[in-house]
Amino acid sequence: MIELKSNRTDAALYWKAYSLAKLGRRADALDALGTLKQQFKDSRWMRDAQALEVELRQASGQTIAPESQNDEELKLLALRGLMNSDPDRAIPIIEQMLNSPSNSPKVKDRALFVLSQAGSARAREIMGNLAEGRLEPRPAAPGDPLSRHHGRIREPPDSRRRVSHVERP
Amino acid sequence: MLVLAAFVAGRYLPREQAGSVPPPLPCRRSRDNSSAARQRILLSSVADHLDRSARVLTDVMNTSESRDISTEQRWAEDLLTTSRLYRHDAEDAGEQSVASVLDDLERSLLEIVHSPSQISAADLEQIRRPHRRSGAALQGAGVERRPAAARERARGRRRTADINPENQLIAMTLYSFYSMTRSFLLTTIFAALVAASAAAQPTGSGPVGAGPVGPGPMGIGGIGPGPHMMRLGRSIQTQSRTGAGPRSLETMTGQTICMEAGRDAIEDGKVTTARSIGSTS
Repeated sequence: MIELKSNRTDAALYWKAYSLAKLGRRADALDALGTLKQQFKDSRWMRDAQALEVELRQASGQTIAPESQNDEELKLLALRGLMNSDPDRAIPIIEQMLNSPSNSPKVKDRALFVLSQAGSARAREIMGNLAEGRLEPRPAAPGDPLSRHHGRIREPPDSRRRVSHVERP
Repeated sequence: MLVLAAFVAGRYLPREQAGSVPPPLPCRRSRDNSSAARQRILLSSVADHLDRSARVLTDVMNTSESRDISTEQRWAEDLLTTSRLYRHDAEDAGEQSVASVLDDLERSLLEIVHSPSQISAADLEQIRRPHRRSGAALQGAGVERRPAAARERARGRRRTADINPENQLIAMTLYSFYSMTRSFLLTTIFAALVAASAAAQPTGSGPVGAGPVGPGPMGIGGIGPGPHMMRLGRSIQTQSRTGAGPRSLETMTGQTICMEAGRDAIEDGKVTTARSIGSTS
């Protein structure tokens, strides 16, 4: 497929790199991704290729600088790795992402997840700040199947406070 | 007059001033962000993610040829990014079965995202094929294995009623697969909660002093600690031997509550407000 140079060569290169990564041949996989990046700069597979590259480099023990990633999703992948090695550096970046008005709720949701997987007191504090800022809930967009509240009845705003009352020792 | 004043004050004073200040959220009170709490957040997030993925996959599997699936592709793209994050964390947390499910899902989502938006029969077939290979298309497999002569004979026979088209069967199989995974995850979470509540029981003897007058409805109870207390005693002994103290229910559930409340705040667009409140507290 790669040699045929068809309109699916970029896809074939991606899947080649993916398969090599699954076989544990990281260097070969990175080579295939390098070819893809070089030959198909405008490919639709480029973002997935970059995500795979971040994953491979992290698996090899390399630290990916989140600041060098221009895509928020790739930045989060890099931050996830950094959170394990250097949480003090990662947490302020996540905090910035959470507070940035330009980031979509989905990006913030993922940033919150990455933060929740950190074991530090600072991460817990940020999560607490975020949780306490919950005011009147806005109805979820109707018909959005990806909404967390799709098909569910939302809780009244003070219900979580009631939960915390119940839990008090 | 006094009653009237009290009524007016109670009616118009804000609730906080009236003495109903809500307690701080459990994640603020807890001192420990244990790996069990993080794992439960992961499992609960994955369960939610699989639920959403099942909806999108069901939609794509039941789509008709040459239909525009660009909306489903956008959803799949969102899910793909989330799936990667969860898979990495599941691998790190040692949840290999969860990581494996997410890996399979990731491949399917990649196929959907990179298919042409006006999906052809061939592309649709390519998306469906991996699920068919994993045993979803039970109908087709038997037909293909038959020799040519048998297939010819079969063609001559009257067809049975087509009450379960193949695409419906695939969607049903996929949905049941994800439902099973979800049930498994929820059971794990429930088991973790039960274990946490057992560990959070106070130690030592019960309340001092006489109980209600007269025997209880079933007569006199047994002497000594009940089965739950005995179990708890053993648990505490084990923990003290290993050097780990009993974890409180507050610690175990606080992080998840904060996570849920935080996600709601993000979805409701209250992040900036959260920040301002957090900085003043």
